[in-house]
Amino acid sequence: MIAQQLVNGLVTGSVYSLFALGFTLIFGTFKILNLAHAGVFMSGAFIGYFAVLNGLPLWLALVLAMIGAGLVSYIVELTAFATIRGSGQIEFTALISSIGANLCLMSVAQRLSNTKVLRFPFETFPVAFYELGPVRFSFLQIIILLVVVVLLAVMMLYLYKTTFGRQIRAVSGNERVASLLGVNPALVYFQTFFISGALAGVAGILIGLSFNSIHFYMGEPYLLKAFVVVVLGGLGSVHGAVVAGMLLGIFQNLAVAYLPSALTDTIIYGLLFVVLLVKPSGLFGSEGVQVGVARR
Amino acid sequence: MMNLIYTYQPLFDYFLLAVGFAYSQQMVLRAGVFSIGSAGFACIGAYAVGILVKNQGVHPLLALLLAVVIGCVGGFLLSIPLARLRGVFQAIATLAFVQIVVSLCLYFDDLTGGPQGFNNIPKLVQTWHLLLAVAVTIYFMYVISRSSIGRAFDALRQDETVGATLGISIRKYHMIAFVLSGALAGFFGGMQSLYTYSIEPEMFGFAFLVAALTYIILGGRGTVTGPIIGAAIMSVLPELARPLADNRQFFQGALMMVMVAFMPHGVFDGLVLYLRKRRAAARDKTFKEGGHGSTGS
Amino acid sequence: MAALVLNNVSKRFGGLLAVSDVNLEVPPGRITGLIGPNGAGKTTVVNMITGLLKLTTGNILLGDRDITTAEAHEVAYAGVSRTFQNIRLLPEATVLENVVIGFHVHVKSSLFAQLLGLPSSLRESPKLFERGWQLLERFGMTRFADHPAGSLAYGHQRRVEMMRAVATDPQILLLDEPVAGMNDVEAAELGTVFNELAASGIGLLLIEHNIRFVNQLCQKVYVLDSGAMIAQGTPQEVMHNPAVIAAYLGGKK
Repeated sequence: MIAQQLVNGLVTGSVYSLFALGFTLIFGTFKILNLAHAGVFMSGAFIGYFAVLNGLPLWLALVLAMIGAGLVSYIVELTAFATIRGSGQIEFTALISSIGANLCLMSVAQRLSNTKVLRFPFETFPVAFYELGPVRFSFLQIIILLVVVVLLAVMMLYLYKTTFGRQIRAVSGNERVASLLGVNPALVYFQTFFISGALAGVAGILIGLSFNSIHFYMGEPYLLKAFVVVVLGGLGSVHGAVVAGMLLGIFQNLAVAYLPSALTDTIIYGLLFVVLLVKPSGLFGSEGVQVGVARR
Repeated sequence: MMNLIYTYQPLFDYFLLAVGFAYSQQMVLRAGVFSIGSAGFACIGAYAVGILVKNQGVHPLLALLLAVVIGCVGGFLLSIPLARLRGVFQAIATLAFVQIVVSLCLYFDDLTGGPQGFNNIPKLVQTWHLLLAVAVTIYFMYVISRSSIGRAFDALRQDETVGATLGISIRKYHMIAFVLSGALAGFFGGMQSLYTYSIEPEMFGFAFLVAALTYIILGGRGTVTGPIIGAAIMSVLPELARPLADNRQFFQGALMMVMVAFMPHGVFDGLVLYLRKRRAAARDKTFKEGGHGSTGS
Repeated sequence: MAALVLNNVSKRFGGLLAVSDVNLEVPPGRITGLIGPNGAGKTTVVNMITGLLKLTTGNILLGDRDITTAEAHEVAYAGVSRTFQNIRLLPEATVLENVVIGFHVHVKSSLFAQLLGLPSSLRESPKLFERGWQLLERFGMTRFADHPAGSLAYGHQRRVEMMRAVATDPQILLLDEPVAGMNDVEAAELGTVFNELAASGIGLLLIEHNIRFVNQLCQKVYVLDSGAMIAQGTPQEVMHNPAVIAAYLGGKK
């Protein structure tokens, strides 16, 4: 029983990780909370849905969702963030701007779906189950785990082994210096937002398949969970997002099995609050978190 | 004529409530605290008043007073852990607070009615009550704004370190901001409860948070008039945008992005700052043209 | 008026000893200089006095009051005021508003009165603005009263910061490179102001690179290099000190 919950939790957690990864990438690199990430996640689901609806095979729909969501994310960067760079108090204004962008995305989705919940056509995904000891995996769960593992591996390689990845980390440290060193910030913005969006888009279509429901406000609960994952894992930390995402997924599944969901939420957000008080930099974050004026 | 008033009265009532919540949000932002927790206190205030008046038969004024007290105490308590955080971390912490409050309201469904909401609250609040409440609130906002508290808030918002070296205790004034914000949110949450017959936790969730923030973004956070303008715009916009119908949300989102890009201080504050610059430039011009004091000739 | 005294003050940042064993005194009614090459730790010393940094060792006394662990706002109330190396005015406020903030330590009306709009609070604000106006007159800045502080010329901004620091009516005024970037005429004007302030009983600590300026104004000069005090005395004594010359010209012989 517990083992089953653990497995389910791992699957849920892996999606949380995927979602949170894109979120923390932007947060860590540009120090802004991009609430439009929820809309990007949702757009991945929508793009995948319409692809399948038009007869495309599922694997292609997945790829299109990834690319499409990446582009949507970049559009958000162009409209919501590029316009406010250079003004003061960027944390505040970026948050508001991202809320606005999210509203726009949700509105478009609402129109496209006629405010209805969309469901994938019946035979989109084969329903099959596999047993491994006391645990039962669905084919979908296996695919989700596989996709997430592959994507995470690719991400790690990208961020830590390639030039582009190093550039992202350079810009994250100090943009002006990075550009003086020959890094093209515009390219970095594009890559960061595209990758972030692509990951969210995959998460979106996977969730859409899991619950077989796609609707224009599906991003919000994941956004709220993402806050927990990002803070717990540590600002901008890729490892942190993965570990914290898995932990949250496991915890949530176990908790929901034994506790009412409202209480589970209370505990999760209570945990978030405590982490912020005790160690705002989270498990893996090393960022100096601002603490206001005091003798240091 | 009467028909016109009847049609728009609910709009006006909600506008008045919005002003109250806008001031609650403004209080903290003005002091440089990035708190978006008003929703939580509004929720607590609403349920406290609703439950006390409907189930316990408590006099509404007493219930509202209690809501204010709860808001004050809650604001004070929240300010303690949040004193160690700044910027987005404060925002996330207060967001967590709101979620906790909403979740607890959903959980204790014996008391609160859970997701179905708390219903059949006597409608004891009329338009003129709201008008009176808002008028009194504006008085307090004005008075505080012109006092040293208001100036201290402005200083801390612009440069915390400078404020501290000039004798402004950051902890004390942030705490005051939290207390005032909590009191306002609790009170108007209670008023909403006695106005709308029924309340549910989701009313005070993410959407509420975004709305309160939007009033301040649109109107401005440094003046007393700003939040009124912001609330007015958001109240009138859906009506004006009726032809846009389903695209209203898109319009609202686009407006937020445009405002933040071109008028980051808000409509009213932006206007004030612009006029100030104009006057200063004009004064410079006359000074240069008039020469330095023509005493003798 | 009391003197500001630093006893064996040190500051360590992890592995780096930024300030080591500094002893200095800022007597009232005098202008004391603190000079040294860039990175010597001068601003660190100021930040320790004003409550922004914790001391690793030593103590700081204002008269007989120990302000070693006092928080920034408490230090202000004790009577220590400062200006910043990179001018920090409140960008959204007018010049007059910037100056009036400096009167915060003089506010008499209670929080209660301010929250409720009682007469004691309502009467106080116009009085503070009147005081601010007088200060502007004293510094010849009345024509800028309603200007947004950020729109002023550099020299004028420095004056606004000066007015704000003076508004607190301090016993000790810490000036962190107040004439940086000014020409000799502007610097001389400010120098006159400093002399007036000292004459009124305030103890000034002048941190500067402009050696000529320091020599003209200061009765005593302290020299800091790499966090340590390498010389102290009258400007003449200090300028002829070989260690000081070496520190400024670089390299050890």
